[in-house]
Amino acid sequence: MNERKLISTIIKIGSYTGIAMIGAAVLIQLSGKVLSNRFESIFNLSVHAAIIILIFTPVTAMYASALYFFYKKEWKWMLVSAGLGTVIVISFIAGQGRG
Amino acid sequence: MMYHLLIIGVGLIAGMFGVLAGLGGGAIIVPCLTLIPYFGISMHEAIAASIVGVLITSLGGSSRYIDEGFTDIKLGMLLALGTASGAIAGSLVSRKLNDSVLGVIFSLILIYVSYEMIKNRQKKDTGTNGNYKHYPAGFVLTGTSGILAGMLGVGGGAINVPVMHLVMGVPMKITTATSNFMIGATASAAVFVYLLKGSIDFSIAAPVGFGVFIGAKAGSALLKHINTVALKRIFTVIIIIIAVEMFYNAMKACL
Repeated sequence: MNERKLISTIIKIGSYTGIAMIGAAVLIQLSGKVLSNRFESIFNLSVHAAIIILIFTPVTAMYASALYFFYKKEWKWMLVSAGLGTVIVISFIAGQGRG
Repeated sequence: MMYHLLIIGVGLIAGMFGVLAGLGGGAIIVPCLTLIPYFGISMHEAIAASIVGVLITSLGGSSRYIDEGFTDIKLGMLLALGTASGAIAGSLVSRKLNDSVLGVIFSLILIYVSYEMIKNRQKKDTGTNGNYKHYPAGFVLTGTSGILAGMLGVGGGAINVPVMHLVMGVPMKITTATSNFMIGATASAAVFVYLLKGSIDFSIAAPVGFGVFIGAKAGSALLKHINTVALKRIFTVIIIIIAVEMFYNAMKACL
């Protein structure tokens, strides 16, 4: 497996899982059941989880490709892909700050 | 139910026309959600929903481009370092700006997008595989697109594509696919900030995201059967009208 196949597979798994969860949430929303407390929590949980999966899909792909480049001893690209994954993770800190 | 169906419809149109006209969904989602009074959605809510839609569109399309061999993953990762950092800054700045200022900036970006569409860069495909130039300039300029992506909930492809093609000498097919790959990383950084700040209204973002995904799939299927040149012309006119309307509304609110 090369880095292309690795990244593509991770993106496919992540994006389709996230989209399926959003689709399920939208079905709950359209059925009008969001009005009940129980279904509202299921809806919120489902969308929240879906968005987190979608966010972490590129992060996972980047760290996986960093491992691949480490294995291939391509140090420059290992740093770039790990760096990109880290930049996205850093947004977690930015998001938690005040303001 | 009708309210959410209409929001899905906005996402669907954005996804479909986005693919057919070569745009990300943000240029359509944000104006539609904010200009139609029935929705009653603020600029900030629309931007947060839009960036979720952009993330879904990018992830949905990038695996296909990677499999087809059009994406230059190494170039994409390198430039995405700048765009993702820019997106974090942009999404933080966006929260400090009021709806009118964002409306003015967004309308100016829409005018730029329509200018890019009029120029129709698709015709000239120069550039050589691998021998790219001006990396620092490309890094800084695409980083600017990241700031705008985070600030306005757009993908930033309208800046990435010309910069990579004209400044760095990347062939057009590779540029489009690589830009799509970069947008995934950019949007995920921005969405993370919006999510943690509590700016994403799930009841808007979910139907938008779902609609965009279905629309993008439908757009890809229609791509071979539709005259995209004529569609792009019509679309350019619509975008200019939307830009003028947004600019007028934003200025009216400012004064």
